[in-house]
Amino acid sequence: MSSTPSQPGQPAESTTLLSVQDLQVEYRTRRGAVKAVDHVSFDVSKNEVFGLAGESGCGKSTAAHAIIRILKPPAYITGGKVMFMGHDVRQMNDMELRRFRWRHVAIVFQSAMNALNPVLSVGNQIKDVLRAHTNMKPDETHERALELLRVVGIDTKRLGSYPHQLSGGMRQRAVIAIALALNPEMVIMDEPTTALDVVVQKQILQEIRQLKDEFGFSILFITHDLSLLVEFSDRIGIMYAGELVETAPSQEIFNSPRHPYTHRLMNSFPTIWGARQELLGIPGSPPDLITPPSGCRFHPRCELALADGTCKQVRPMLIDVSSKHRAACHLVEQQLAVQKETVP
Amino acid sequence: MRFLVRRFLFYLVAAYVAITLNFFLPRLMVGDPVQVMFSKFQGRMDPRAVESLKETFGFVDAPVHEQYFTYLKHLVKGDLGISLTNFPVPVSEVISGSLEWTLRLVGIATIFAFSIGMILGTIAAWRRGKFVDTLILPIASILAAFPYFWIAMLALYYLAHIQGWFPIGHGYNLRLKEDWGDRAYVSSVIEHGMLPMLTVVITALGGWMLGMRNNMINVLAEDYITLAQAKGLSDRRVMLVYAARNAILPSLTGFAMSLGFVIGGALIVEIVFAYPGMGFTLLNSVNGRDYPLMQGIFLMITLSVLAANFFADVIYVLLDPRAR
Ligand SMILES: Nc1ncnc2c1ncn2[C@@H]1O[C@H](COP(=O)(O)OP(=O)(O)OP(=O)(O)O)[C@@H](O)[C@H]1O
Ligand SMILES: [Mg+2]
Repeated sequence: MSSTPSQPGQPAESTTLLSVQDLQVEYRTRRGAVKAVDHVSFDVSKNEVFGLAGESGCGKSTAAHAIIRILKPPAYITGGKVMFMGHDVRQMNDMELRRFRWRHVAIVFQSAMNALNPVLSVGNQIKDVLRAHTNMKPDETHERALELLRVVGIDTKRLGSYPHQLSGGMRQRAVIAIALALNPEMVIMDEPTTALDVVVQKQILQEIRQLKDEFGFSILFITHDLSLLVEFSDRIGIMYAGELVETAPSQEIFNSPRHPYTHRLMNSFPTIWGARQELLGIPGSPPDLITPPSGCRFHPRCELALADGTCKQVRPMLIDVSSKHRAACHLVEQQLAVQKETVP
Repeated sequence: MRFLVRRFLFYLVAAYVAITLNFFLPRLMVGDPVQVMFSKFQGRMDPRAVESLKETFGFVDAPVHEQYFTYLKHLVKGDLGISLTNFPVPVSEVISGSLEWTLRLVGIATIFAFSIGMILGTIAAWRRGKFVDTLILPIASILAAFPYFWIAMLALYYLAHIQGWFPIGHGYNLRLKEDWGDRAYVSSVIEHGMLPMLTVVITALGGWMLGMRNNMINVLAEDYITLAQAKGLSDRRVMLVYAARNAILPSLTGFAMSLGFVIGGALIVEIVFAYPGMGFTLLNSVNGRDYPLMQGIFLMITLSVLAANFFADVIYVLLDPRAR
C-alpha cells in the first residue's frame, strides 16, 4: 500500500459558497471567557470538500455551530462575518434563519448517536423536515423519505423503525439522510464517523463521497484525524487553540506541511489506508483558552520556537506561502523572507 | 406486547401475594385480639360483630386452609366482612360509599395537578431564565416545600371561616338529600369540593412542575433538540414532540403511583375538611379499631397501586418505543 493519498475527486470550482471572516466565538463561563474560536477565516467553494482538523477542544465544533447559528448560551459570537451565497448569516432574523438552515446548509452532528429523537420513528424524523420546508403532500413526503433511505443505503423497510432499533452505522446513515432531505448546497459533517468501527467508517466515507459527486453539495468536514482528512478532502484548514494556523490543498498539507503544529499532527496518527509510521505525538497539552499563551499560541509546545522571543511575543498572521497555501508561523515568515532575498 | 403480558402476570402474582398476606397477618397476631376488643367495647358489642371479628382473626373452628378458601370465596364476591363501627353495614358498602367521594376529589385533583404541573414545567424550562420561569420557579419551590396540612388549614381558616367564600367541611350540604338529579345537591357538592381540591392541587403541583422543568432542561441539552431546531421545525413541534414527549417519561411512573394512592384518599385534607372520603374513613376505622374495615381499605389500596403500576407500564409502552 502506498502512503500517498488518493487524488481528490474533481478540482473545486472557484465560486465561493461559504465565506467565514474573522469569526470569533466565546463561551462566557464563571472563570472567564473561553475564546474557543478566535479570528478564524476560511472559504468553502461550490462542490468542494473543506476539512477542518485539530486536536480535541481546539474549537472545530464551535466554529461549525457558529456558521449555522445553533450555538446556545453561554456561547456567543462576538465578532466576524459568516457569508453564505452572499447573505450575511449573522444578520438573518428568525424566519430567514429557519429557511436558510437545512434548505441551504445542513449539519451532521459529532454524536449522531444522540442526534435522533428516541421516541419518533426514523421516517417521521425525515418527514418532519420536509413538512416544515415544503408543501409536499403526505404521500409525497413518504416517497421522498423512502428515496432518501435508499440513497444512504438503508433498507426502506426501516422507515418505521425507531433509533434504538438501528445499528450505529444505520443511525449515522439516517442522520445523513435527514441532512440530504432538502438537497442543501452544503453539509457540515462534524466527525460523522468517529463513533463507528473502522470498516463501517470507511464504507460511510465512501458513500458520502459518492453522494457528494451525485448531488453536488459542498462539505465542511470536521475531524481530529488528519490522515483521514487528507484522503477525503480537497482543502484542509488546521486549527490550534481556537485559531486557524494553516490552510492548503490536502496534497500540500500532506506533502509539505509548513506549520510545526501541522507537521506534528501529520505524524501523530497512523494513516488508515497507509503504512504505519512512527508516531511522534505532540508533547504537552492544549492550552487553556481562557488565558491562551501570548504570541503564537503553539509556542510553549513548539521545539522550533525562535530563541529571540518573537514567537512568544508576536502573534503570527496567516501569510501566503503559495497561492493556495497559507500558514501562521514566524518561522515560515522568516524562511519566505530569506527566499525573497536569495531569489530576487 | 410481550413486555406487557409479562408485567401483567407479575402484578397478578403480586396481587395474589398481597391478598394472601392480608389473610395471614391478622392470624399471626399474638394473644386474642377479639377478647381484647370485646372487653374494650364492654359488652356493647353485637354477637354478630364478634363473629365477624373472629372470622377476620381466624378464631373459627375450621382448619386454616378451609378458612383461607372461604376468605378467597368471600373476596371474589366482594365480601370483606362487616364493619364494626358502622355495624351492621358490610365493609364493602362503607368503602364504596367513601370511595366515590375520594375518587372524585383526589382523582380529579391528581390529574389536574399533574397536567398543570407538566404544562408549567414545560413552559418554564422552554423559557428558562425568562419572565415566566423566574415567576413560576420560586412559587413552585415554595409550594412544594410547604407542609400541606398547613395550606389546608390556612385555606379553611381564611377562605372559609373568615371570608366565608366556601363552606366549612363535609362533602355537601347535609340538609340536602344525596340525589344527583337535584341541581342544588350537585352545586353543593361542587362548592364543598372546591377548597379541598384546591389544596390538593396546589400542594401537588409544585413537585410535578419542578420535576418536569428539570427533565425538560436535561432533554433540551440533547443533540436531537439542537438538530430539530437546526432542521427548521416550528418551536411548537420541537417543544412538544421532541422535548416534552421525552421529558415526561420519567414523571409517568410517579404519576401512576399517585393515581394508585388516590384510593387511600388525601388523608389530611379529608380530615381537615371533614370530607367523607377514604382517608376520613380510614381515620375513623383506626380510631374505632374497626379491623375488618381497615383491612378492607388496605387491601383496596394495595390492589389499586398494583393496577396503577400496570397502567403506568401501558402508558410507557405507548409513549416510549424503547419499552416495546
Ligand atoms: N459549554 C461550554 N462552556 C465552556 N467552554 C466550552 C463549552 N463548550 C465547549 N467549550 C470549550 O470550547 C473549546 C472548543 O470546544 P469544541 O467542542 O468546539 O472543540 P472541538 O474542536 O470540536 O473538540 P472535539 O474534537 O473534542 O469535538 C474547548 O476548549 C471547550 O473546552
Ligand atoms: Mg467537536
